Amino acid sequence: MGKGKTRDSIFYTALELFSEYGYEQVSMRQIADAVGIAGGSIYNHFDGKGELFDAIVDYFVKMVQQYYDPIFEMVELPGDLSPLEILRMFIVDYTSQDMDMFLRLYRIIFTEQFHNPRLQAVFYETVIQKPVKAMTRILNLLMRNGAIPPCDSRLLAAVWNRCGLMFAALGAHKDMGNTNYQQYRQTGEALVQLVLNGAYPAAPSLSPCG
Amino acid sequence: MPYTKQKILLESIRLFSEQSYRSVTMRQIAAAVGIKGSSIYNHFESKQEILTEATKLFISTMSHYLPTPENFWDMLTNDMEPLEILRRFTYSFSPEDTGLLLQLYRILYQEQYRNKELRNFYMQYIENQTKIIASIIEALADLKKIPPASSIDIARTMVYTLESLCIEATLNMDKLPELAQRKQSLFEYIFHIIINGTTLPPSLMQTAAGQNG
Repeated sequence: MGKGKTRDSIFYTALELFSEYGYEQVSMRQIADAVGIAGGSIYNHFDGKGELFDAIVDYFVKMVQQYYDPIFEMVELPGDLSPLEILRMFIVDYTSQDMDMFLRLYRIIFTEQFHNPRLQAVFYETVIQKPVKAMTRILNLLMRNGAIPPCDSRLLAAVWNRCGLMFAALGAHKDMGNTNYQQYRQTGEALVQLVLNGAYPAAPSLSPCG
Repeated sequence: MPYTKQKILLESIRLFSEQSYRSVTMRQIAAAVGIKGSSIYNHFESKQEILTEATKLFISTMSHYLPTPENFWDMLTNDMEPLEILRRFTYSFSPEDTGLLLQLYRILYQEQYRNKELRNFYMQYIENQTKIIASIIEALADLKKIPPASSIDIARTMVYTLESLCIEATLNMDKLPELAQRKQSLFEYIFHIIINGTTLPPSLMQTAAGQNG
């Protein structure tokens, strides 16, 4: 195995084991055993469990960014999509392609953040602040085009994201993925319809929040 | 519950929430209470039994805050506003909480992925809450207090949104007042949505019903 390949193999094995048993419960030796390399040689690739964990967190951040960065870079909405398709694409379906990986990462991060302040900060920025900003932007662009009735985009995005986060927390349970995903689709779809039909009114008296 | 047993339970909850259920030992709990290591077993057979007791305490603590479905009719008789009724039924945390409830939440949130009993309990709890809120929304709509609503979707939106804020509150107790404020504005906004109508087109209602079955 080449060096990069072994490193990848260690990374994905660690991810698997951490999500299954919890970070504390897994040793470097166990990871090496599962990969099929000598206990000591794992340190040629990662200094320790901490570095492996950081790599996993970075991977999670990158994965989420992949979904949201295009939204910030977009000058205008794709002209070939209807508002319904845009809302579905950027809000309801945004994680569906990597759902398994996303939920596995989420299970690790969700559990470990209780003991890791740095992770808490990363989590807040990655899954609360950024998505709310991105969803707000989508709604604002749609409103600017007159494609949806006026709404309080920031509050709506906050509700949407909070609700989605809870779906992720529940979906991160191993055998829950499917039922949960059905419910997620249904609720997401209902919210999309509400936006299109203008049932989300402007609420200027309420303070925006993430 | 006898005094020492109560003390053991409360110290365990504090330790489980600060560290984790797994890493805390029976010996540590005994030391925190100030009793001998072995005498803790006169009160609880195992750590698992303490955890089960903690789950029961969560239910009884929540039942102090949450009205029962029967209380709903009293609220209506007393002309309580729909906003206030829903607010009471969706109670999750407030800045005035004395730590205990948040400690219990914290244990639930972090152990749910490792402990089947807690996981089932929590899932059931969320599903029940959602169903109760959905039936309240339906009842309010039937009584023409609010417009007809897609009750299960709006209930889920409400319960999940507030629960997500509660998770964040257990992570960062310093942010409690700020999060309580956010909770209030998001709750009011969702209520605003209900009042302004959330009826889905009939075609979508059918799809939604199909997915349920």
